Amino acid sequence: MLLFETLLSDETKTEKAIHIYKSYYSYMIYIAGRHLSDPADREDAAQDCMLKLISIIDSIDTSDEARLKGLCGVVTRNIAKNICKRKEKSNVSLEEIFNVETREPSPENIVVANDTLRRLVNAIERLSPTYRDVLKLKFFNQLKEHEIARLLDLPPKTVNQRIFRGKALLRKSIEEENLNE
Amino acid sequence: MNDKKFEELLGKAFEIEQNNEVSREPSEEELFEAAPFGEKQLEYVKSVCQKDKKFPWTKHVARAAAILLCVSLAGFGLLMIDPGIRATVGDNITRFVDEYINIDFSESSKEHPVDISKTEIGYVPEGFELCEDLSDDEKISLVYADDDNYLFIDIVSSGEILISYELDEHNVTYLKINGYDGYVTYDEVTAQGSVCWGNSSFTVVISGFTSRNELIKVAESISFTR
Repeated sequence: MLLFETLLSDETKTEKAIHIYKSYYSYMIYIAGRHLSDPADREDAAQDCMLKLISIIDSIDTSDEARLKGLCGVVTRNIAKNICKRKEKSNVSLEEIFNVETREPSPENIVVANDTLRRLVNAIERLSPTYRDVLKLKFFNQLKEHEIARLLDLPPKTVNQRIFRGKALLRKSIEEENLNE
Repeated sequence: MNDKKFEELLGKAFEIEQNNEVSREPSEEELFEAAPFGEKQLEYVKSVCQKDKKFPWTKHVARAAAILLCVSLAGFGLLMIDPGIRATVGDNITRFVDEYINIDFSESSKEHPVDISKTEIGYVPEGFELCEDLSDDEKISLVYADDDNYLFIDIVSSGEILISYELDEHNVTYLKINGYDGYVTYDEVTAQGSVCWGNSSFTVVISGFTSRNELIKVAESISFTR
């Protein structure tokens, strides 16, 4: 029974992993390309991202494409930044890599009915990626602290601190915006 | 806004932020054109998954260990239903975790045997009045109280009563009470303490929420008419 369970879960995991890599490989390369100019480095970043996602594959919900894409984006960006730091390479523009322009946000996406929600979105976009990534994995991808720690190569304590501080910064930011208006 | 509501709002805000981010990015077709997923990538992900299940026995060992742990915990839980076992385990855990000093007066001076039925208490702190007397032929057990606090006086006709003090929380000091060996312990934070003294024929323990000096004063006021 145990053996059967293991084999079954392994097969499901492999299918899940192939689905993720197939669907988001190009996106991972694109995100990595924001920080890395060398195609080999970008490939490494995508592969590292996949390795990390496999390590928490049981917690990943593949039915929600938006969340999955967000997750791939955060993890790849983090890995790419780390590779970039290691190699001390300069950033390279997107146009150079993809020959496509970075788009402005479409108006329908910025218009948000709830005023507090709008302020919060603005605050999130202004927030440093250090906090934004952790908060996104926690509250958008619904991951646990130890899973976030594994994905971002951080000690769990640091993850907790960043969640706490990130939330405080966002609260402060929307409160200040309230006062200014 | 409470924390739970804020976190819910945060989830929604990140959903919008994600949509905004996606809208700024190239389309999936453009991305695929720039970096297509091919055989090489498929082989990679398959090989990684294969490597991941290279040693499935470790998973079996882990699962077996988890099952064993659950069974042991369930067995332990069943055992703990018995009050005797529970008390023994609790006692052993307490001894293991905390450091204690144990006091008994059985080896103390055998001179001046005392008859506790002729006990006189000469002093109790101001405001304290006797509210309960649980004394019988073998022991004297009195409870004094003022508006907020209690003072307990227990006297037994044996020096073999074991008294334990936790060393971490209390400062235990040796002293003589009316010529008998004694100890006083006082916790400044909770403003409570106790004094115990005796010899091979009796043990007195006074404890309560009053000052250290008052406890000693009460102790010194206790006399046994010979």
